[in-house]
Amino acid sequence: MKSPFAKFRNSGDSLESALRESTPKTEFPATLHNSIMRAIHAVRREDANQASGFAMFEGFAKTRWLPAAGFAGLVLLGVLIAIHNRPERTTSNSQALRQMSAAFTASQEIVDALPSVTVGPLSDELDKVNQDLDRTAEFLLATLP
Amino acid sequence: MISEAPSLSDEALARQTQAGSMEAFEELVSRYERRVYAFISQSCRNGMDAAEITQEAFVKAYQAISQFDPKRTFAPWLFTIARRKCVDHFRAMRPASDESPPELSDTNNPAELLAVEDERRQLWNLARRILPQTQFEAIWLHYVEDMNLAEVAKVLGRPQTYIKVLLFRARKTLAERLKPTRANTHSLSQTMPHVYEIPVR
Repeated sequence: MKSPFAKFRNSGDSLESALRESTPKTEFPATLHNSIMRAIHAVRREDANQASGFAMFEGFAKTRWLPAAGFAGLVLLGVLIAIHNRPERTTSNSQALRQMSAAFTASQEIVDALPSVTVGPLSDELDKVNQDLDRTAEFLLATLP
Repeated sequence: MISEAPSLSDEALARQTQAGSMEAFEELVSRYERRVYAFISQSCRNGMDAAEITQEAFVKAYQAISQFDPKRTFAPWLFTIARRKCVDHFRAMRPASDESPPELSDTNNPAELLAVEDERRQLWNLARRILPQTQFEAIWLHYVEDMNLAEVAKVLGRPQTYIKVLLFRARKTLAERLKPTRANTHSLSQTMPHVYEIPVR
């Protein structure tokens, strides 16, 4: 029986050239090109829709936040005005300080007015503490080179 | 399609596609659709699947065109995508793909069986039947797509030396299967001794 590869043998071609020359004919479906392009166009449209949808969302978000931004500006303006009006508050604070210092003065007067028997022991203790502090200071000064 | 397209290289068309030209990509589709379809239909062994996978491969290529480096060759990049699509497809349809291709009724004498049909087509049919998938893909890309070792290696994701071995084994297997039986008076190994030592580009 005649071998189907006799042609290659007769011509002395190698298997390599046989493989090169014997590319099988594949029937290409007639509609495939169009279906490929349709699919690609669909993908492209989808991408474009997604992109435009995102752009629309961005635009909407911007317009939606515009009143909010205006409101925030108003709040900021209010804060600035409040800061601007702070001197009045400073006055009220200084009044409070005056009141507090008056209260301290009053308490000192009360202490002065107390009999020495009441505050004596405490003042003795205070003197002792002061003496300790003085000695400590002297000791530290003496130890210095 | 763009008028000056025939003069443009694939890589230039890819660059234009990256810039947003749909016409440039359509030209690329026209240039490669038959080749990709032939490669996939030979690998997939099912015409219906091949059409679907070819379409998926081009859609994927369009979506990924921004990742293509125009300094490189376009064909291996596209065939890499096509091959991956093919592999993914068969992974998803594993029960069907496990069906082994129909065997020749008399494996001892393939030459006799092949005689009834066109020998050119039969050579590749035989290759498809007897060679492992990767070997078949390697010889297809090398001999039909005329890709060099580096390009085949890129498509198959293997080192060049591995591809060299694959090609050698594929040719050896084919040559052995084409060897006539003792009963056959023709001796392919005598008439074509060089098939065992084919230099690789």
